[in-house]
Amino acid sequence: MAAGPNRTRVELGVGIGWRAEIDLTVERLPGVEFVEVIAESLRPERLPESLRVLRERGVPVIPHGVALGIGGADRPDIARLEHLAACAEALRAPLVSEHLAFVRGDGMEAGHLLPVPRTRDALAVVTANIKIAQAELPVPFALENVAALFGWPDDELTEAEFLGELVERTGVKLLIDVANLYTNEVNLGSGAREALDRLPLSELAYVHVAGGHSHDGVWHDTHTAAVPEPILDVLTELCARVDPPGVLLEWDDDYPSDAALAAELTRIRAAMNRASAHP
Amino acid sequence: MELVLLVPAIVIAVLIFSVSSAIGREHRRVRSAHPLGGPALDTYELAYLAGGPRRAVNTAIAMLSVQGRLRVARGGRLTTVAGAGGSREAIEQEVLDLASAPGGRSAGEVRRAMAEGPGVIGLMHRLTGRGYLIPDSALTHGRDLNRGLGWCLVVAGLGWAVSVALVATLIVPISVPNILGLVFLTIVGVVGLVRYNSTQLRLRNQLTNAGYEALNAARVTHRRGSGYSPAYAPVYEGHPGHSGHSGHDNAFAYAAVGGAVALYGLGELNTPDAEEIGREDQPPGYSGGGCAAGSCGGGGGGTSDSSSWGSDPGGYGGGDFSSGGSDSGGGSSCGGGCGGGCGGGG
Repeated sequence: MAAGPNRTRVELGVGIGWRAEIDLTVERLPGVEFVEVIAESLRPERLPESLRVLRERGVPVIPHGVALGIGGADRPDIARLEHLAACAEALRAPLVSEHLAFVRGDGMEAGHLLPVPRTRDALAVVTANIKIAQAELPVPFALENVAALFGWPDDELTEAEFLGELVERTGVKLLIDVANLYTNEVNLGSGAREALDRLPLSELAYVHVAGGHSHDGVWHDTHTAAVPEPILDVLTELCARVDPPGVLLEWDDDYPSDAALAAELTRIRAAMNRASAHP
Repeated sequence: MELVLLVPAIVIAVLIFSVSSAIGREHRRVRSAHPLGGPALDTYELAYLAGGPRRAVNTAIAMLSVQGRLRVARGGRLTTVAGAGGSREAIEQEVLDLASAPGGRSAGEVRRAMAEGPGVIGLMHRLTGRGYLIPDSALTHGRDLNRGLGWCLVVAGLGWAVSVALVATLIVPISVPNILGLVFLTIVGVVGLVRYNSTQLRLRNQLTNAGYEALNAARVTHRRGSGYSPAYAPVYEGHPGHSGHSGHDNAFAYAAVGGAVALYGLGELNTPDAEEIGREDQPPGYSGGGCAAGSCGGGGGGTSDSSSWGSDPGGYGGGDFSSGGSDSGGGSSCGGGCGGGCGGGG
């Protein structure tokens, strides 16, 4: 499959994660230029009416997988890949995204997006897994950096280096979650700005932004609160380095008013604009 | 043998008209309760009078939605809006409590749960106590009488069948009195059947004459079309929760929305939310689930919970487009177009 980086760029704009509870809100929020839907929650043969409405308006809808476990030692489940492919085709999606994480092992589900051991051996395994996924998917594939509460002791590469190697070897696109970069900075001490300096941002597909909560000095990326300024600062830093094709707000529970969500999108746009105002 | 069919027909007719007359007297008696006075009826009391429990709950959902305290999604899924606070209205707070369950609740589930809940039952007791609703027990005698009318109609039907058979087999002579008896029995039977059916419908309607008068007076104050205006829609610029109107303006607007929805149904709420609120449960094409850190995983399929609860009782003057139905005027003659003629009859 693809050996070199994929140079196709899909312009997305500013968007929000589509969830069934806020479907009408997403439809009527001004300035929503694309949405993302959790692929595992979707039945491609019977798309929710709201997604059909958005597609008819020309709003791109990106299936976002959360359970493929491409960072695991096992080969990715073909049935899950077929489901992702079916979602992409049903939604006429420009790309599909997933997490660089492992979520199960030996038949046991972790229920979490666990960080991958960043070793050379793991790199070879994940590279092979990504190539399997790319062969099954009809559209470009993007991988997201995860938020971690812990790191593996024998890591040989930084997260940026690991992702960079994957991009180099497979041509996979990047979905950079600036909230996850911030989380890892707070929880693990890995600098978000240093990561941005080293990531191959030319292969950026889009960006995630989300809020969370601090508890006992640990940042929890809950997607249930307004995006704090430090995370918007990371977004500004990213935008100072590259013009992202898309930036998406994730909000998964405790949904605030429509006006509050609209205000969050406005704050995201402002953070993006700050980069161009102060290059 | 000349009068063999006429005499029983007259006896049956007397029976049917006696019972029918008793039903009318009973109907007038139970609906003539006088209101005890007190404050004017509030939005939810009017909603209950106009459309029963379903209208009352739908009005609460609509009000909370317009105020931005409850989010309505496609399929009628209701979730609370984080940080929007509670309500001092018992029926609204009950909706918020139900919708605060993880993943929210469908409007249909909320209506079913609230049908016997303290908010709706409290409304019913308040209206009954103030003389606007007839206690259900007060209709028992009327129902017994109507059941008696039903038996009279069975006898009339049997009598008609036997009469036809006797005439057809020439066991009784074909004479003017016998033919008159047969025709008379037919007319009496048809009239009795109409009366039986209309009484059945009227017995489902629990408004007193005072209830009708209060409802009609409210409908003069709140005309159709005086409900939601896009001007009250929230403004998206600025701080979360701001609507762009002063508190006083909002209170006025919400009262107008509440009054219109209460009296005429969800059709007065001219937003996409209205249709979803009125929708009964349908299987979704999405099974929910987000992806906050540490909580990702697969999702299951949707569930189908088709239910028919929530149809307005016939007497309440229409429902709120349940499963594609009309938003007004359903049921019997009461509520929607009753005017001064209700409560009478005989």
